[in-house]
Amino acid sequence: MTATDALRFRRTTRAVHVVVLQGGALAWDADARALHRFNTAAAFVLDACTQWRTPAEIATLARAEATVEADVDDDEIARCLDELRTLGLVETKAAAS
Amino acid sequence: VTHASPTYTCLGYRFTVGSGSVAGARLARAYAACEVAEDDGEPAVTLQLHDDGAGACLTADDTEVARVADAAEAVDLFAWYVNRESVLHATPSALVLHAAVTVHDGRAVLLPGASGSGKSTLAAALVARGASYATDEAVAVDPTTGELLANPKPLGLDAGARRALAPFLPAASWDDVALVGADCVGASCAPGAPCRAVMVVQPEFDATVEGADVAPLTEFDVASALADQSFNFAHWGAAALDLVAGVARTCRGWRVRFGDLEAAVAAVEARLS
Repeated sequence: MTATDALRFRRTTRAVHVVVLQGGALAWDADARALHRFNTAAAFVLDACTQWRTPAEIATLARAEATVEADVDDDEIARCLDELRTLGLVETKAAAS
Repeated sequence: VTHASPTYTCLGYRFTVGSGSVAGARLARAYAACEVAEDDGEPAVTLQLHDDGAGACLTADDTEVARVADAAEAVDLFAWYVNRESVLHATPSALVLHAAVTVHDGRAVLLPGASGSGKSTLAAALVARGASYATDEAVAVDPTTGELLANPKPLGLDAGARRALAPFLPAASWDDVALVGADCVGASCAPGAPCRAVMVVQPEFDATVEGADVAPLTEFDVASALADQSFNFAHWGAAALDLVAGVARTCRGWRVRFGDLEAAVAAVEARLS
């Protein structure tokens, strides 16, 4: 179990407009006035975080979602969550709370 | 103000070249394809270059707006200023991309690229081979329709580009300067004429490449390239993202790395046909 597994994740309230394209996704962060580039897995993870989710819950959703291009294993989800958290696009709380 | 030249428009920025300008006649020739009929629209600014012994200064309606220490760079200063003002003028109404556009039987090819990528040279070669010239350096995209708006400003072609273009334009007699009028390379679209992109070509001049290496671009690659080469993406924000994504979804995209201009032209034409 990693530190990420012990957390729940949810999108922050920042105004982010995500467009998923063949080959990747682009996101316009209106608050930061910045364009972010993701792979489609990260775009899926961000979309899944409309409510508080654990990495395990996101993984379950990803396995049921046939349109995700990337191979979304647990490591990839953890990497995506780290990336999104670094960009300020998701927030965290302890999974048990 | 005495207007010594016709009225020109670049992305809606209207100007005349003042009488007595340094290189005024040359500038008038270079911008000839941008000439528009006088109408009741926004008044034109009169731009004038002055060589005052301490370099060259550029005035807009008699107010100094820019200066260079070397008078030999006066024409470049003029072109830079017009481009900057054009982009600023267009920003409230259009997403402006750093790209060239050629039109082939009504189908536009969008060539985004940073300075030195070879987009101007490749565009000029495509026009010499029969395409129409829509723009170089700054192309306005209508945010409501996604159409590209022609802006047939002079092309920026350095000595290396002109050497590469010599086989395409054997009769051309260009001045020893970088600013080349559109009429030197072929036919032009009318200023402001709309056209729709069917292909995005990302040129990469690389002298070490023999011929041309062509690789397909994903939708993501195309949208990223257009976003990177936008002058005013942040102004439009989410609307700009939707716009470049729309272009990416409807156009075929190719990266063309080339050391040989003839091969690059053939590669683009083959994919259009």
